[in-house]
Amino acid sequence: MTASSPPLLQVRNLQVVYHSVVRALRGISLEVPQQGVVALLGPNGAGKSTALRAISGLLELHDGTITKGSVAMSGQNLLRLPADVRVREGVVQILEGRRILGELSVEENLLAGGFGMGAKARAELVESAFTRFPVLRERRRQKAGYLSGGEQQLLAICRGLMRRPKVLLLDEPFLGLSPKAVGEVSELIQRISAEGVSVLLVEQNASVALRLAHYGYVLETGKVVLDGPADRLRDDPDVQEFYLGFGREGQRGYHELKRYRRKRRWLS
Amino acid sequence: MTQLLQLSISGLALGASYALIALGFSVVYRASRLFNFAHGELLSLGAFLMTALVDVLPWWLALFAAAALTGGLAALLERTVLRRMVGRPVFTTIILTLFLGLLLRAGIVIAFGTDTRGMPTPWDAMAEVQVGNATVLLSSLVSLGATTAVLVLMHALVQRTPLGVAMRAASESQEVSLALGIPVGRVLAFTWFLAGATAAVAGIFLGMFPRSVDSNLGYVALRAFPAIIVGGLESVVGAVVAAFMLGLLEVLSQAYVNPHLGAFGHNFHAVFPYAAMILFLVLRPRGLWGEHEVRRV
Repeated sequence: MTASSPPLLQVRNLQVVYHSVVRALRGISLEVPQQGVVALLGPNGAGKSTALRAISGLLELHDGTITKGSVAMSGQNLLRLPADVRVREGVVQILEGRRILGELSVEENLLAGGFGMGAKARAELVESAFTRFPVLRERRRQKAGYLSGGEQQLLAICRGLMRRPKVLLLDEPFLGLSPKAVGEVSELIQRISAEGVSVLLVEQNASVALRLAHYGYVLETGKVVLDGPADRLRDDPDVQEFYLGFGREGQRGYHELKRYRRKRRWLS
Repeated sequence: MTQLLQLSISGLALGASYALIALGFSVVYRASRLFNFAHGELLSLGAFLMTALVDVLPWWLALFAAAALTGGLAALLERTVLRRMVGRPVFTTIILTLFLGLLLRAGIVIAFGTDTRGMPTPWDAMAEVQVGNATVLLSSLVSLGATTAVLVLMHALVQRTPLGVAMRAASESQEVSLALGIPVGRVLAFTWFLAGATAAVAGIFLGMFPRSVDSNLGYVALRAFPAIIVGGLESVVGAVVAAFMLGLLEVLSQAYVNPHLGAFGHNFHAVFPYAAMILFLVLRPRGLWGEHEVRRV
């Protein structure tokens, strides 16, 4: 965030269209610094996942096209690279819904995350995942589909770490997890960030996200409507009201609802 | 007893070739979600290439060359034509692969003519060996051994190597595999290469005495089709096991069932696998080893 160090990931005026007609992003710009957690907040359909897909290169699979704008990492244009090359360059997306390869064993899931690496480096990284989470070691030969939701999310993130990413794009990592698992996953995210990996975190659960993040962007209908340091966003009355669920002094009468509508218009 | 042993060995040899064909069908289905009805013509192409290549190369080298060329063509078909069809209705891909099969067949007839050819072997094509009391064709034993070896190698490749893990990952989810940095396009092309190469090997051994190589050899692939249904579309192992069983069944029913059916029994053994397939479709549509999807939500 400081002016002295250039951002790791730089998204400029990005516009994305699905199926050649549906405009999902209407020109967003955001930056992810060399270190730290950046949160991307917003309601359903705001374009959060689209932004991640545009960065990771998975848009094509969803029939999405970038019509304008740029995505660069350390000054290198990412848009020309196919998705699998971007991953090997260090841009790793953890897909929404965990997306464990259920027919493969836990260990094979990790190995798949290290495809194309040297055997020794791969084995070391699998070992470090097992050291992080001994439960994965215990179940290394089991089909990964049998892990619990929280364990699957931990495995999904460890699988992404196999590439030694520079930036990790997390798409709703807390979706459908138990409170205990939410704790474990957010602890893992903090540790990854402390180890020097930048994180771009997409969440609907703004309170968890803003606790983890240093900086945040609020996305609505394909546009950034608000951004700032996480603590300032937490204290922002609009964010509190719309995303953290605090009413003013707990009063929420009919006139409040009307004000909400008015403010939403102003926001977008 | 002697006859049973003799028939069992030739049944297993036939089954092993069916297994190679079924394997190719199955890995391609799992990777690209389509039925490759051109698979039989790849098999036929492999056999014809072999009959031509043995003139210029030593036998074993010719075998590898024929398999590699056929595999290369399969990978090319995937890359240029069939990759565009991913996600299209099954019907479209079926028509397309049928059409590709016809094209290949026409190409084979143009290149190699319509004459029936014998498949050359480095051993005497009619040599027989004694197994216990039974007399078996040496070719049957070699083809049983060689195709089984290829099956074991394929299994090891898919189950034990990083490339195999990538193949299975790509067949489970292309999006996840891409997000993990797996070059899905290349993995798919390699899967098709393997399918084409194993088809060629199957064709070469199926073309040996007492059978021969002609432009109808490709239809044999349709005989392996019931194995895929009986074994379970999703299960490569199931398809392979079922192929062995059907090969055995075909040969045994030819000897033991046909004679009892009178005029009706003529060639009844050829129908037998399809009868088994229909029975399975009615009683157990997901096949012997059809997998339940493991899913947790």
